[in-house]
Amino acid sequence: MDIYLPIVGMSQSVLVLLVLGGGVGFLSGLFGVGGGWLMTPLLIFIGIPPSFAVAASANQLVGSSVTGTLAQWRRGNIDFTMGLVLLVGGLLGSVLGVWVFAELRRLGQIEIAISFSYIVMLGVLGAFMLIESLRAMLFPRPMAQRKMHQHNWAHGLPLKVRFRRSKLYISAIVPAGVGFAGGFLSGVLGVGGGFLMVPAMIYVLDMPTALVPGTLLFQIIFVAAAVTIQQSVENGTVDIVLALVLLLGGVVGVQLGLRVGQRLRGEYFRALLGVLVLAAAVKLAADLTITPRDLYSLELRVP
Amino acid sequence: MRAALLFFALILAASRAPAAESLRADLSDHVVAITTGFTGTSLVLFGTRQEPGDVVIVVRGPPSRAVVRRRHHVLGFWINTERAIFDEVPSFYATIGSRPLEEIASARVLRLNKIGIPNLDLALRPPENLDPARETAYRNALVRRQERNGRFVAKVGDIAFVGDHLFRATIAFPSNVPVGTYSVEVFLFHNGAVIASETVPLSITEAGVDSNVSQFAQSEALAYGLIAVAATAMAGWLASLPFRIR
Repeated sequence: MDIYLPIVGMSQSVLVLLVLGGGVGFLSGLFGVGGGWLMTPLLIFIGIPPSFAVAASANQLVGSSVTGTLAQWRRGNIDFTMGLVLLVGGLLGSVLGVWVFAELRRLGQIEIAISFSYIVMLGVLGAFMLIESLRAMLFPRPMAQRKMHQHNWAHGLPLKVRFRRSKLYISAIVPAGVGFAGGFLSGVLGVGGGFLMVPAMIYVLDMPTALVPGTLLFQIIFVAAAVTIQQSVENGTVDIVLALVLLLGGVVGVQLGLRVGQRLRGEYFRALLGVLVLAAAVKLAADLTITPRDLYSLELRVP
Repeated sequence: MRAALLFFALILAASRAPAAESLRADLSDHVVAITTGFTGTSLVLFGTRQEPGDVVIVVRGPPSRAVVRRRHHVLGFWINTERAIFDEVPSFYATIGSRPLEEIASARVLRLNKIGIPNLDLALRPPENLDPARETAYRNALVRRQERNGRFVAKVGDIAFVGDHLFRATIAFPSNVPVGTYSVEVFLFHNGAVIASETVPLSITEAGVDSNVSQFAQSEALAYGLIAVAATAMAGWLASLPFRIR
């Protein structure tokens, strides 16, 4: 059964979209990763033009992070003060990201820019997952306890704020900067930016690990919402039908992933995922470096 | 049903008024509505000819602006570095001939009547200027990409003749057919010359919910964005309900 996507202007199989949304959801449930970074390239792979893939990805991210946030909130795993500071940076970053996106699209470089960013992003992410899981397999001992009140450069900045839930007293500039970087990625690539923000929140902000996913999801709701609205106004590329179908598959996939994840040893699957992600990066890199079959591409615009 | 009625009416017309007009044609539908389940469609064109000869059907979609980009090898990567813009490019163009076009008429006649993909008027947007060789390369690329997307089509032999006068042709539209106002021209050739032609209008539109969605998204982009966010947020909240009790 096919469904017509009114904004993209093409028909696509509902089953393919549901499986894609479900598959990405399953992986995010299984590994606890965001999954936005996987959604955009997969959409491009099935033939959705990159600019529409990014917008739909951001839009469905609103829904999936609402679901995730509610689950984390019930467990009390959200630092709302931190979330709001991250959000301020995130919104500013998303404005810049969407502007850069529109500018690249005008110049005809958006496809290459998206591919290029994904090569770097997937390459780093895949390598990180692989190394981390191999380490966990070879040295199956938790890492050394982190010292309390460890001071680094981030403590010397002004505008200090007390984050009660995280038990931190640090400058608001640092989390806002982390949020800014995530928001920028969200605007350009339609991803949540979790792969960048999670390590930053743990290692730079020194947040308790348990609070990281919930706080991140909470702020992603609003950043993704801002990106969706800006993409709609600036580029007119948000396809609500596409986003809702992906979300439908996604919510089922996440729950399945969570169930399965509770019964499996994570390292082996993370290593496997790391290899897959690296393979995707290599594939994208090959597409950009191998001589294309047709050097010319075409874009039709309705005057 | 409608198609059958039309066909019947044409048979009647053909038998009653023998030498009235040398060519008459009509479509089974003048409006194609693209709805949620749209996967492409075909229309039936019926016609009568009072004189023997070849029939050529030319379907032309709404004009659009085409941006053709060329990749160059930069630091190991293939990157778009050059472009050419063509105006008034038909977003869809199909010819259906009862025989191959070059057998029906000379290149000159086809060119005069602008029949066939090689005879399309593909002109660069006025201020643009390229040397002829590169312009040709860009024009060929434009045609090649449109052909690959199924938007420039040249078909032979999809016209069935019933007796001496009646003919019937099937015009297929892919799922990515552009919306807008189309023209369907029917030409009757005899001894390599056009002896009659007729134009049938056709409109392809988005219908139902989808047309409202895309129109709304264009005219009220901000409200549309807000609704898109509200809809997915709501869906996300609904999705969390069944898993609440655990």
